[in-house]
Amino acid sequence: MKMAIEIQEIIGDKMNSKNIILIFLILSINNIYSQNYNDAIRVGASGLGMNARALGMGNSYISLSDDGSASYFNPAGLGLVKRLEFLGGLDISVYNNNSTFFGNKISSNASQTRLSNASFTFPIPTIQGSLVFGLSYNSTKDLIGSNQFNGFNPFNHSKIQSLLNTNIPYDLYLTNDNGDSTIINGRLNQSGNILNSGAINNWTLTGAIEAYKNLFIGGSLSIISGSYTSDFDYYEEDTKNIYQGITAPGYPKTTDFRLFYLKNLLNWDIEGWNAKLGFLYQFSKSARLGFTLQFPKIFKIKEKFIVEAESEFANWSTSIKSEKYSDEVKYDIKTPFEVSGGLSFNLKGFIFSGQVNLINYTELEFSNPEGLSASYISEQNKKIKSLMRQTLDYNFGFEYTIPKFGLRVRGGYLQQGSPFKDDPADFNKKFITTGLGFLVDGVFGVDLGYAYGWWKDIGDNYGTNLSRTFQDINYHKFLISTTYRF
Amino acid sequence: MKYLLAIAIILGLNGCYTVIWLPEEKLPQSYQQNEFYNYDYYGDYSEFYSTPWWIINPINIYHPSQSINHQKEREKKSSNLRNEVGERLTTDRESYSRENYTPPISTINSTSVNAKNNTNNNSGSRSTSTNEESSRNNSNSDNSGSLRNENGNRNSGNNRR
Repeated sequence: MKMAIEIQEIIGDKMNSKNIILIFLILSINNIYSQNYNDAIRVGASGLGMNARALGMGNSYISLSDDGSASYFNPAGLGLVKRLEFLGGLDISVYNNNSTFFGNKISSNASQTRLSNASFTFPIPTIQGSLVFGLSYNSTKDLIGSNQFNGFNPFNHSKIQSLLNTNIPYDLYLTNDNGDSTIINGRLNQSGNILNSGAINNWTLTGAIEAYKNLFIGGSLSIISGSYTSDFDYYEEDTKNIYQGITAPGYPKTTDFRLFYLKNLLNWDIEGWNAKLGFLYQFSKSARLGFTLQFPKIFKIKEKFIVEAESEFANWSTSIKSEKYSDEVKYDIKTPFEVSGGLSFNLKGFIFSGQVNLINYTELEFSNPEGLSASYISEQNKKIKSLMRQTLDYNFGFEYTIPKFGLRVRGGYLQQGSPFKDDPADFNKKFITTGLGFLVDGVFGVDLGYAYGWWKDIGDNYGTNLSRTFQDINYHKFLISTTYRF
Repeated sequence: MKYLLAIAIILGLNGCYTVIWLPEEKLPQSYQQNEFYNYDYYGDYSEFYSTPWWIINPINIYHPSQSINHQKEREKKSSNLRNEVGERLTTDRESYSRENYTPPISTINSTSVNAKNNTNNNSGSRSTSTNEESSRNNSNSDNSGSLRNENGNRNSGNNRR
């Protein structure tokens, strides 16, 4: 019944019965609208965490982790905390994108301020060894992004043509009555802007114990929450007045095509869980060694996809009903195992730290679809396997404490490899970091961390390398953490 | 996973290193200094990381097994209170002096937190015999398909470049 009503709406005043079969075919195509591997990478790739001290040291923190942020870096490190601790912080992230599109360069930016973390750590009194529990809220990854582009595409393709397998061009009177061909043949000015926002948050219970002298073992269990919004406005304009005739044959009001507009609004409600196991060994006063095993994170995505579109002609315009093309689906994304190891040396007030993180992005996986076909999910999982690769991320950092002033100075560097198999090195995310720490009255610590990142990326408006933006991205993150130990 | 299993077996055979303090036991007053943050190079940060909170803020626990001593202590205190009627007292100030305070045993450096605590916990309570008294007094003093795939993200296909 619903489908019959939908068909009636689509038929409108200009469709005859012989095309009903075609409409059924088109509707069946619409039913397989779905996500792709970019969505899996969005939640699967590492973030920058939420601890200012760690960030200042290039997030090379697996072998240190001696505060509430151990729940994120290395749960075993929590066993090193001896005092009751409240930890909280603020995160300010700024994302700048310099996008080049058919020779035109445009800058855009997005920013986001949020609570980075709040935690309470409770060491159980012991006669020997250590047993510590912690509760924490960590905003582990921001999902901000932006892209703006504007340029004349001189080739004979366009988004309108790429959407001929949907009803949108037909409903906008951009095709013939069969909906299978259009007079639009590229050579349009294409422009648009994308604004992304959101974050992934973890509510974590952590426990750590000194299982053997100087050997700490810890585990954490996290409930994931979060949200993500992507707002994409896209325009194609006939700036060179190429299409002055009738666009939809038989409908004079469609004379002189001017503009096509499409809005895609993607809203995610993110839930899920993950677990992490950590080990940390302290070599007396000289060094610490840390290992972590991140079990696959399960993200349960509840997705709303809203589409709006419009076409403008010299003396007329029309738009589509957004509810016709909008839908809600659900699916899970499972991330790979991550294995990390790190070492830190302590030399007369200097701490030098380094770590590596191994992640195999080919193991990213979609599952449990609702509102999506199993075959489409399977196809996306195959694409992930063929396009992604394994990366070895690495981090370095140092910290120097000036005991007389209770001041700490930090610096670091980290690199997160691009998950795409064919990407050159400049697509890897690189960050230099710095930070400061102060201690007041021996109980109140303030830490500031800053990271500057840069990398390249590309984006396709349709097809592969047909309408592509070449992006130079730089990124700033400021973290402020305050610690009260008593 | 084999390594995890091996570690679990080794630890299982040796028993766990950590011994939890139980309320029936005497509160530990010594602790192992974390030498990673040596006081000479980390100053106050050394204490920040090393000193257990139960050393700084001893726990106030009522021990039923020590109720007789507790009763005596209460009587003693009541007696003191009754005598505090605004007249001159004969209480010896020296009994509360720092000299009578026994600092906790610790491997911490001489300049570290114990010295600090001695100054703060100057009620002299730790010189008393029972652990319970020590605790009480200390605590008082410290307190869409193609559409979705054409969303400006990557569309690598098999021939992305």
